[in-house]
Amino acid sequence: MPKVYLLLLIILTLALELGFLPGLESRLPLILNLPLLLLVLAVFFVKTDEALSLALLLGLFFDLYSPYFFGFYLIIFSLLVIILKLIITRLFEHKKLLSFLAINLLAIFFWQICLLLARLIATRFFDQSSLAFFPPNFFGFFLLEIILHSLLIISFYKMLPFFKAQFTGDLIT
Amino acid sequence: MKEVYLISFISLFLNFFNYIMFRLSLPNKTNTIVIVIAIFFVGAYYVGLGRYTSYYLRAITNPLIGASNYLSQSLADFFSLYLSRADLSRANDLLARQNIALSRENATLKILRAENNSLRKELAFTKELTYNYVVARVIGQPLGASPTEILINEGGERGLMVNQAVTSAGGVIIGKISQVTDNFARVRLLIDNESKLAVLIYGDKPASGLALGQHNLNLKAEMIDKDALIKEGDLVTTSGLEENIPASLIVGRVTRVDKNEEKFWQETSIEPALDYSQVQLVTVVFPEKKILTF
Repeated sequence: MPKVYLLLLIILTLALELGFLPGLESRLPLILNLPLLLLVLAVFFVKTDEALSLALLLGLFFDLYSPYFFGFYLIIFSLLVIILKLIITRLFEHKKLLSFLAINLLAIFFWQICLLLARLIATRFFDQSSLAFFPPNFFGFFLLEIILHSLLIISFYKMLPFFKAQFTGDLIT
Repeated sequence: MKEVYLISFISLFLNFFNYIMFRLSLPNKTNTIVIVIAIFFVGAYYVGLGRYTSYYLRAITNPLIGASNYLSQSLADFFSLYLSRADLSRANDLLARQNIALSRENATLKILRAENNSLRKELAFTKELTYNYVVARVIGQPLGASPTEILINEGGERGLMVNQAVTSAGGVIIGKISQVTDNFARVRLLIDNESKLAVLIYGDKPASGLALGQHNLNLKAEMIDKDALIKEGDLVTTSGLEENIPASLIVGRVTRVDKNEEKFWQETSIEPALDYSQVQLVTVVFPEKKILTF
């Protein structure tokens, strides 16, 4: 993919996640994580080097508005791509829909664990008590995030022929 | 010292990253460029040159984020108009009744003000209070943060500082600044669990209390004098006891009073005066008291 399109895609994701979604409903970004979805798509369909470049640049742009230390999203997104790529090459031989859903689920788990760890470290070692926030319905939002991401992926699979054509079938192997 | 640890950690990570890509035998020209850019931006930030790197990136992305936020709020308003007609009608009726009650109260206050002016003249007491302010636009919300934190498009360049009051709709306080960079700032809304604000509740006489955010939905005021007679609908404003927070900024109205004879204080629930999710423009207030003469 030409690099200028990559940059435009990153900026579009940034504007949608930080600006558009909160404007519709303030809790929507908690259940629809566009950068995560973009990284899962990249990990599954593009080459590793392109996915890693995307992760680095995406992380850099999101770090501009990060409540955590500068470099946090850069590290998390890059680690996510590396780990998911390793899992794909070792466990999911063919590109099936269920494999994609499983990778998406793993990505969400990894993301939430990293956020919780970051909050714990920030409050313990960097005296940032404002990051002690733990949403009242954390597990509810977590479950909604999994459901919404999965529904979006299945909708794209059913409605977009070019997206469906990227897969070799429905079932996992 | 903590910054040194962070820089070391990030440098180690990027070296590990480069090693992983070398092991994966990837074409590394593009990745090398991207890694160099990443190291440059991260390093520049931590040596204090963020003003010359991150600042200009944000100068490009702030308007885009702000525009998409404005667009989505307009869309949400457009659709909510059709979905909430019955609610709007009920709210309209309630506002009409409140308007009548406030008009009666206004008439009483005018009489009291005239009396106050004449008393002040007699005492030769003068006080001037003026506020400087900065108007900013809400551009969005940080990723991974609470929905009770918002981003505004003004920062340290305009003199904003942490813990300044942020208001909207002509004098309604919505939160305080929690983080400032050169060209944007984060605001923690009053309903945030971490938010605290010194308030006055206008019952039979003004009673001071401490308003705390409750579960990102509303506010609760604690440590109110047990003898104060407070009822539902009483006005709550800032008390002016906190540094940088002027007095008489509207917080909301009392919705429930919790008075227990066994406790030393009474507590109340407060409904905010505004729906914070609809705020698009805010004013950051810089209180400045001029000469006080007797």
